[in-house]
Amino acid sequence: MKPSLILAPLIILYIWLVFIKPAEAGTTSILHVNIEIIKACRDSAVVDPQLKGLIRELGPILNFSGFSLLKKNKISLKVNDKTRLILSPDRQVEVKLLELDDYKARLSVRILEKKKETFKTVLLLIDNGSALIGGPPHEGGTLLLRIKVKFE
Amino acid sequence: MSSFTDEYLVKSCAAGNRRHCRLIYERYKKLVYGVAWKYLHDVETVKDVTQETFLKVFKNLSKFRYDSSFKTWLARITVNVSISHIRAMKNRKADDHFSLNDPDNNRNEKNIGEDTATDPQSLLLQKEKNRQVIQAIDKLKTEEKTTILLWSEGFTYAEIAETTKTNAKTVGTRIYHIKMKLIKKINASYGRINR
Amino acid sequence: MKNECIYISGRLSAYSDKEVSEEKRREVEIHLETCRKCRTKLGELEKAGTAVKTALSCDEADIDFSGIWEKIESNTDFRPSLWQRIIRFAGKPVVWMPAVFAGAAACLLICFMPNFHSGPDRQTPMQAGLVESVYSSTGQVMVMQTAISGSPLIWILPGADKEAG
Repeated sequence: MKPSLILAPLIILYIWLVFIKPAEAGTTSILHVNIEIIKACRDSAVVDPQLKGLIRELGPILNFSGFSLLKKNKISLKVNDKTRLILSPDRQVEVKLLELDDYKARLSVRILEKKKETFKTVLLLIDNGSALIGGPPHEGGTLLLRIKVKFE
Repeated sequence: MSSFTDEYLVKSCAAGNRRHCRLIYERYKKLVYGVAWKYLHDVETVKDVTQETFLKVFKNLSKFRYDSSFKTWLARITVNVSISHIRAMKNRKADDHFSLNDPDNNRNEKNIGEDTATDPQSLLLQKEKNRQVIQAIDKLKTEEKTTILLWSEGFTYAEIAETTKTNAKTVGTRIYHIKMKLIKKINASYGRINR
Repeated sequence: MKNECIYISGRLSAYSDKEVSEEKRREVEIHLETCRKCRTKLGELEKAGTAVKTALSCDEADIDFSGIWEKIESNTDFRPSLWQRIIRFAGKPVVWMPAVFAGAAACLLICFMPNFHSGPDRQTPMQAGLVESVYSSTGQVMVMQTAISGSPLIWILPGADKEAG
């Protein structure tokens, strides 16, 4: 058998695998999202043990001394799934998974006050990545949301 | 009020962020005004000093090295600008001279004290007490005067020490001696304070 | 007792200003329970302090702080000029050093790697997270990074009509 008859398909296969093969749909199909609703304040030095890392993360930028974990939710989302959490009687947060592949998750996070959208962001997070959103006053302190993702 | 640390705001303002410069102003405007007031006791002059202080602060922010807290650095600038204004006023001609202790020029009528009755005699009595105290404070040495003025503005001994470049023990001793001097002076010229 | 009075009376001013340690505070309070002279002196010191604060207090309620700010703003050029900003930005080692290395790496890539593709194994690793877009009804948002993990931190600021102060 001529070597070219063996090599040719191997070369074609190599070219296809490296250059032409379409992007895989990915083995990742479910995103586990951990949403923490936190109250940050400056008139208390009490820090929930689960939030100790926030002092070092936020210290150079924001002068909060106290962090309380108000609620923690773990949800699993597929693409186009969304979930809503109630922050207060008039305020909700909605998280929707827009896109997911092996490397990144694209999430939409909206805050609704009296059912009206007051904030929206689209985040790109890697596996075990997280993002923080904060600022509105909440129960005598300041609201902070921490969103962590883990790929399945 | 903003949650940002002074350090963050200072760096951001020094880089030209107008909004953060405004936040610094909002956070410290009352402190600067209050300290300047204690030196000058005239609304328009104190407004000028407040403006001048913040202009100096924003101009020199990039030089601030965090070898003290921002608050005490700001207080030092306020004190220096206020003292400069007093010296400038003292150098003016007699007919332009502004008396620091002239009660008619003290447009703030509200420093009467919470426990004083509002009848005219009590008001006059309190005004006279205030005048005696201000006169006694004006006669103090510069560092003593700065110490007691910052103390009355609510600065801790540590903050006063940082502003006046001394230590907390010296500040405590100064405040004690100043209070004793004031008790003697006021008792001598007016009778007991607690009448 | 007289020596104790001398010791305590020197600390009465700091005591009334709450500038003493817990131990000294207790020492003073124990002494004051039995020493009328020191109690009287404490009263006089407190009254002198009150007299000072009363004489020097001012009413800030009617002060036009906004007017003062307008004068400050009109006399301050907050924004550096475009050229200054470029120089300041480009002059930072954290900017020009990576720029030089990136330029060198790009040259090497162009010379030695003629094929570019974005197959999955060539994707540039992403930082912990990125903010693709953000909207707030207040119109005021800051996007930063946390100090340790570099995760995005989005801070929603109040609207201009609810400005701090």
